[in-house]
Amino acid sequence: MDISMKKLLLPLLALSALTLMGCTHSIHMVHTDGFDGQMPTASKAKYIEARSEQNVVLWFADDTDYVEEAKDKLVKQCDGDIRAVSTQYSTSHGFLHWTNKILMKGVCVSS
Amino acid sequence: MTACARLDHVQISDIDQSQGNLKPISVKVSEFAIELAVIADVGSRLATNHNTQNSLKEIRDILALINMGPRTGNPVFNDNYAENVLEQLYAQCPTGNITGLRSTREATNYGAVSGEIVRLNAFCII
Amino acid sequence: MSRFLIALVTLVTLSGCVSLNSVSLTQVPNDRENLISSTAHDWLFLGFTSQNDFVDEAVNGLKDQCKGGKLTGILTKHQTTAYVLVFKREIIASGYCSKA
Repeated sequence: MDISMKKLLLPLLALSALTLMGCTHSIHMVHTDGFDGQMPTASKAKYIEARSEQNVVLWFADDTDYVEEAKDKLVKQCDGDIRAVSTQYSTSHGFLHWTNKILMKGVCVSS
Repeated sequence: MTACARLDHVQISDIDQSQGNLKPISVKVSEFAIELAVIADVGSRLATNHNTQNSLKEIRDILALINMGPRTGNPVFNDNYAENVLEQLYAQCPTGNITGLRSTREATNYGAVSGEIVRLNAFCII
Repeated sequence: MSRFLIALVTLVTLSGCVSLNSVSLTQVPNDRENLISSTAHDWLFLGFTSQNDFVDEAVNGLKDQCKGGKLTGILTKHQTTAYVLVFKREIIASGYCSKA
């Protein structure tokens, strides 16, 4: 194996490993709230969930409206109270860009 | 081997002790995390061979470029690990009435390697 | 060329990059007729500050719009917009006001 091949070997190995493992992610926070009032038992709970994303290239983002998008999607799925609400904010990393993600979950309690 | 604990975010909800006895319930999910760019960087500093040093620096730069974005702690390779914590907590409370909920985002840290943790503690009103 | 550079520098200086710090949502009520919102912000030079009082402004803004009522389903966003050397911190909160 010549020297140039040797020089390429490690980066190629790293790239192959990463391709197999996929991109990295980071969960920033999980917030939960809303256990006020009589809750249905776990077996009868009707779970709802909503997701939204924002793609960011090199920090250039001019709003955070994707948060409201997730909330609107969640609210549209339930005519009653939404209790036991959890909000997860995470980021999936990429090449010179990343994707911010919101996952909202709750229990729909119809009156 | 000892590890450092890291606390990123904590939240405490209302605690209602007037409705009955409180039984502690808890859900903790953890995911292996590693900052490969840091490991490559350390490797490049420790390497004695010049070519190996350069190769590891290239790997570090490639890793930094292909994993850009805000991070809390070390990055993980799966972001689904905390998706069902709410269901798991709820399943531990037969009455469904939960109070004193604490959400914690924390980690057990070994430098570039860590266990990234999402933990929910609460009381089930029985 | 220099005009282009000046325009580019001005554009980069004036257009900020916004990032989300934290988000939370509380229990959402059945009655979702009256959605109110409130925002508050402060400016930081080089990231230095000694207070976070602007958070209370957002809370008071919500309270003032729902006097005598109950505020639930509160969505709170804490975001930061980065300009050159200057940062804008913002609290954007909205919720449903129900008056019995």
